[in-house]
Amino acid sequence: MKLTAQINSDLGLLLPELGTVALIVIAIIFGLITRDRKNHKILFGASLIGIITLNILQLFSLTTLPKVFLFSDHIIISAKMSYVKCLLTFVCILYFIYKELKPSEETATSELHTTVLAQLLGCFLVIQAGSYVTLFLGIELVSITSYIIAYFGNSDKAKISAMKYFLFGAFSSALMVYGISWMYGITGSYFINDFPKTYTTVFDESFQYLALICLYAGLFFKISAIPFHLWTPDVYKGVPNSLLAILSLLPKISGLLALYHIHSQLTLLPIFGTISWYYLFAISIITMLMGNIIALRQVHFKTLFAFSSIAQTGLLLVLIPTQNMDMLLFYLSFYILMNVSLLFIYELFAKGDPDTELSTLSGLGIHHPALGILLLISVTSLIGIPPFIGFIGKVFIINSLFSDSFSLENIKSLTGIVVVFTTLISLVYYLRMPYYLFVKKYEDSDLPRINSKQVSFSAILVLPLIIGFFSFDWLLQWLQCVK
Amino acid sequence: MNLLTLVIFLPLLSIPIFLLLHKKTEYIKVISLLTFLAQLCIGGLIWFQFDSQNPELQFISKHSWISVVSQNFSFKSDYFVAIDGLNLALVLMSSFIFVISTIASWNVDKKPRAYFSLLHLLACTTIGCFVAMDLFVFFVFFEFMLLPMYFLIAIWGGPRREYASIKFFLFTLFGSLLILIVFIWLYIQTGSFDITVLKTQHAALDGLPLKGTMFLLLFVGLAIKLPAVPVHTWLPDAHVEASTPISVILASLLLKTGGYAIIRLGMYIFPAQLVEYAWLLAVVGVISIIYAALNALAMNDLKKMIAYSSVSHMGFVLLGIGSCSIGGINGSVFQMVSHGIISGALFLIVGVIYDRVHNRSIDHFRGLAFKMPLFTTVTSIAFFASLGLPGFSGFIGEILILLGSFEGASTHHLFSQWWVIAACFGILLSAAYYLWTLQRMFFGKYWLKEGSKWSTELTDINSREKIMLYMLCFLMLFLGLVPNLILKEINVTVTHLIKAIIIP
Repeated sequence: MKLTAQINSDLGLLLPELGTVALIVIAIIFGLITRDRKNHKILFGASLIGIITLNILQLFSLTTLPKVFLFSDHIIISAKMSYVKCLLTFVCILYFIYKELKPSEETATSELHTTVLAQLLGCFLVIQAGSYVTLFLGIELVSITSYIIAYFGNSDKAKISAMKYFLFGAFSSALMVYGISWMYGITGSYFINDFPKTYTTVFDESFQYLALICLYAGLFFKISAIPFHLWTPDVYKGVPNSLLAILSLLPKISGLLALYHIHSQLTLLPIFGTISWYYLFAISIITMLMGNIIALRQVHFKTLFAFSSIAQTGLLLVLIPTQNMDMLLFYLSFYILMNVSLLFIYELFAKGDPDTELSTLSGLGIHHPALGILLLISVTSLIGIPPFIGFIGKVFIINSLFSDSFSLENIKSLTGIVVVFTTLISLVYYLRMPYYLFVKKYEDSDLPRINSKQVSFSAILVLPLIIGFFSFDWLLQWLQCVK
Repeated sequence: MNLLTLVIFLPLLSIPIFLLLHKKTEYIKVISLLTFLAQLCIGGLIWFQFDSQNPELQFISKHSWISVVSQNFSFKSDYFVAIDGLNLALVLMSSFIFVISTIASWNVDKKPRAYFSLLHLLACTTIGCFVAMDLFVFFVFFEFMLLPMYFLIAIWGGPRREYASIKFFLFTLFGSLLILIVFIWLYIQTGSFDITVLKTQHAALDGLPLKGTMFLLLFVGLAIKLPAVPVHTWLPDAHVEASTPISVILASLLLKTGGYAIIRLGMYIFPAQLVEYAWLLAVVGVISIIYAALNALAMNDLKKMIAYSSVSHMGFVLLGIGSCSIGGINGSVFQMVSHGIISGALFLIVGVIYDRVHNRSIDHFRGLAFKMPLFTTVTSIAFFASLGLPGFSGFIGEILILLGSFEGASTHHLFSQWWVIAACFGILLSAAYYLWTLQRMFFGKYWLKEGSKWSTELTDINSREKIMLYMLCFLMLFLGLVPNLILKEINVTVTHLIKAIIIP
């Protein structure tokens, strides 16, 4: 009886997740009843607003409370994670508005909306996972929905890339389960928060390497860190830009936070902590270097975006071993805006067909100066040049890397140097967009038609990047208060 | 409202007006000129109210900007601007050069709104860079300067502008990133970006093992901006591709931010390292002087020759700082102001020829003195001022630097005297390339590559060019005859700050 009462009271705290489940079911049923697209759209929009409201309510009810453990530690909820859930839902809302305003028609059905909601639910599970079982459930939910979303590109290419994505994904999921079983074997627990009590060093050190490498593989695949990035450029090429906003952000954000949780618990252990520390730094160095260098050679927007987002993953990964949760959330909040605005404005310029070479932009900044400047701000913010918010993010990242003793043998300082130098590389390829926009002459006679709604949406996305630079301290201050 | 804040942000105020002037683009340049004249007037007001006996910072404006404080993380930066003898003359010179460059841009008809907006953005950041006393604010101004400059070269530049602008951006961003590392290191050690706080703690920082390395990083970062050999290669390319007014700003102001920052940060935060690595600064300076002068001698493109002469003259600034003496550092600051005025005039002179015939090869012209007498006179004045003829401002700067570095070499044994002697030889080289150019282009029998076609186009300087060139020539001569006009303030501050530099 006591257990049932416990479960009942826990369910109350899971309101956002339960709400999402209910909305998914409603969306499926609704999709069977009516074929009218407009109704589906309204339902989707309303569901997103409902989900974000529930999350905001949860956030404010939890603000200063400590973490809450639900379902005998399988799920952990906290105000910080509620904030992330708000961010994730916000991405979906941006996607919704994006789709409304985009220049080309998109043949989206209620199935797509259901899939997006299901992915959102998967992300909620991943970031609040208290045990590897929940984590794996969430990861699989995110993965399967990602394969379906990749398939919605509706071209042969998209189908091939979705299949590729699926195969790679299945492989890395399998690796992850293998890693989890090793973790269970070594520590005797499949709870993320529970190691210190049960951990005994019976096994040889090499098994711990194996366990960790396999366990992280699944997460690295989700956040597309090198060398688990092979699906990224193909899938990005096949998917329309609007869906890319979801596909490039939701799995990445949730994967990063799951990594954060696991790493922060593993650091409490003697050997695992060190392995994880070095492993994360090494992967982030490789990801930053390779991502940036490969991006240098890209002339297509989609592949350039893919590799630049891989490079950004490397940068974000740095914040995990340095244990800087507030900074991670701070950077992610603005990263969402930079990413979505870049995708949206490029699509406007490319007349709804963003799978083109960057030279499509030639001279368009002169015909649409306002939009051109907005793209410039978004891009320079991604490079990290003042006075845009990306610079603050970079300064804080470098700050946290150099904060203790500096030496070249120290992998932390080495990562700092890599951050600095890859900034330089990223300048070259990011600047190519404003270069085409403002410097090259316009060749095509057919100008893209851009209405004021689209411009104002872009402005809403971009202006926080510049306003944020001059007054961002309140957000950080607030993030630090939130438990 | 603080006058200094007004000087920095006044140019920004006119950008919205430009954007509103959709149809009437002809008013833009007038508004731009008025803005910069107003800025110059406020600058003059500051100079008038400036207490020249006081070596400390004046016109201080300090407001809290960013403040994030918690147990494991803190970040604090104030908007902090002030002025003293080191930057007073540079601020005045900046507003003046922006007035000149607006007049020089009078004929820009390609997207004038964007052009003048970027120019005003550049004015704000350049002057902000000279007066910022908080390292974070300084860095923001220092790095945001690159973006408007990139577009000014890339859109209104010459045929190879793509290459030149990205090279400029890459080199200077690399330098900025090195500086950023140093600033973050300083912040981590002291918890402050405020350079007056850092000044009080510089002795405590000396014990740290990395301080020498940090000074070297800072030096490399700023030497790129200065620029010093061997990291100077972006400058000739950028100059050749940039249009005349942009070249003027690049040579007169952007290079000076590097030199100014070495003096300011060196004397405030790294005095011990400045002495320790004085030999390095001096050697790099002398190599810049000689190597760039030899390059200038070999150039056939008039603009490239002047670009290399800029590198050569900025080498003197580095040598002066390396001398760690009152005379040398006074000379360095003076040389920066003087070179700002002279190089502005030199690039305008190239612009005069290039605007008329779209060619600037030295061997395509001969005997211009017969065709363009006024132009020849002005050119000779600028050339002589640049090569350091007594009576002109270039002479004062260079003589102070050489005297100071002989003091540093013989009294304090910071470096060998032979380096100073080599620097004197650099003056000889500059005389050689200027006089040779003068002889090849302006004297001799009148001859042009394209004959009569060019002959009709090559008219003497018009009234707009007269205004600019006469003003600049007057200033060179005036500063050469009455150097105390600005040297007085520089000297008070340098004498005060030099106390921090203890030479063993």
